[in-house]
Amino acid sequence: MDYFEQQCKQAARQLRRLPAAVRKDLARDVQTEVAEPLAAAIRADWRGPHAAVLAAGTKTRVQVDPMVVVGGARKVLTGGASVRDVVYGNEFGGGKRSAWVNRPKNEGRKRRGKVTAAERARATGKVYRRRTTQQFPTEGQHAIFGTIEGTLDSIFDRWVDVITRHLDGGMNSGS
Amino acid sequence: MAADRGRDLQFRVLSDLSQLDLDEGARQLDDLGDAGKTAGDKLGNAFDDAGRSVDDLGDKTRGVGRDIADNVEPATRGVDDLGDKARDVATRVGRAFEDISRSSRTNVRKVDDDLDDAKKGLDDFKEEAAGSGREAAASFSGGFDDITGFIQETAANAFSGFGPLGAAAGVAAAAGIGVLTKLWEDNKQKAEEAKEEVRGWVDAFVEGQGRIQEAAIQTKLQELLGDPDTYKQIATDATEAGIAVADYARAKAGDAEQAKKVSQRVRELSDALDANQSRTTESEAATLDQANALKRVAKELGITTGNISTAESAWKDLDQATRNGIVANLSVDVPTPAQLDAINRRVRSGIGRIVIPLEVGQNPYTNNANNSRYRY
Repeated sequence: MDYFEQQCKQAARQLRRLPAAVRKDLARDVQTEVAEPLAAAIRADWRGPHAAVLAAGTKTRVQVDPMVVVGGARKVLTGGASVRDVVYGNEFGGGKRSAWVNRPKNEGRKRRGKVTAAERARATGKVYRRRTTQQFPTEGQHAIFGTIEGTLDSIFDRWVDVITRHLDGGMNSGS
Repeated sequence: MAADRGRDLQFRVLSDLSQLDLDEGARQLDDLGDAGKTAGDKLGNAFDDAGRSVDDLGDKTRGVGRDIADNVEPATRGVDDLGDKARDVATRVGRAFEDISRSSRTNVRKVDDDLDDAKKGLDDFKEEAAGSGREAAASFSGGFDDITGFIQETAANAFSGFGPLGAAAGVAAAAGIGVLTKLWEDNKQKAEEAKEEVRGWVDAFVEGQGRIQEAAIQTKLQELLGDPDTYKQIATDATEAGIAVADYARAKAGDAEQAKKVSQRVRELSDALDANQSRTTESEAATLDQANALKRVAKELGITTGNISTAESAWKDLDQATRNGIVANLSVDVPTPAQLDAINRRVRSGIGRIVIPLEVGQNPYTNNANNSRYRY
């Protein structure tokens, strides 16, 4: 597979060297005919409470190499989070990684009885360990990568069709 | 893809393909066409360099016709040295452009006067480049033979209207896409062939009730050795590897015992080769051939064994599913005599107040919907 990937990269690099006029036309058609259907499939694949904002934040770019972007800095959730803030957690999952988190002294709930290490650390102003991304499921949805993997065949066929058409067009309109 | 959480998540299908976990069939692309790879690399690199050199200099062109014509011509001579020649062209064209660039920086006014010459030169270059490009594309047998016919026809002069950079970039892009398309098509074809083979093995398992019978092996043998190309491949691999052709063919035809024996033999030969390699430096070429043949044999056997194993699993599941189906058919719920009596009683008592249940989910015996207009 390495060789195929390498060839793909090389093709993308070579396409960037095409004359600007051809490249622009090509990029526009690639966006419309290849990237947009892919983005639509990804939009339909988002699940969960953030599905709507993620679908709205799934966009394409005018590129010869079909490009999908999910993100945006605009605050779209009630807490003030942007699509960019939630896309990674939804795509890749919250994970199980725990981390040391700083907390100010004596902040938080107090209770009687046995005091846990975390509460002691919190009470003394030290750091304590907690899960970092509990707002997302442990496993991600893989809406972007899964969709691309699943539809790579048709994406590639469509992309080659567009390129072929433009090469033919270049011959007919050139010289 | 940008892995930074402070950025949008981006994915470029071609450039970021390595981040995908593609299926095993696609991974077999690693082994595809060494000749195509070499030729593709050569052509790609050559035009890569050419594109870069020309790109750097842009429109500052002057009097390049002679140099370019001289340089493009050798590139059209042969297929084998296509890459070197093209690189040579690129270097010399690059130098010519560098001279022009330097000259134009020192004496800008002269550039205008020289533009006519440059145009003539570029026209020549365009024609020659298109010619050499055509030849390159047409003779690029490693990558272009089996793909869609557009490359040979259009690649060379597709972008000739856009000047030398356009011509070079057009051919380079087409070359890259050609290699890519061929790889993809080959991969799809291989996947299809593998599917077909697995289907065949499943049939063999079904016919043999879980075992591949001698008749199936014979049929497969006829199929393998009856095709001249396949036979040639099998015979060459076996002979070079040092294995009996008949044994190898039987192993490939699904004879499990023979497959084990051949695998064992391949291991022994490989070990022997490893042990002798340091001592027999003079017979390196022969050793390399044998090692490559052994690798091919091992790979082919691996593919066959893998397909048979997949088919066996499929057959087991199929067998299980078939058995389950029969059990399910036998256990269809039939009303007992007591239940039939109860149904009869209910029907009899229901006559005279038959209700047509209009609302979904309601029981006709306890229907409270206002269906009075349907009562009779």
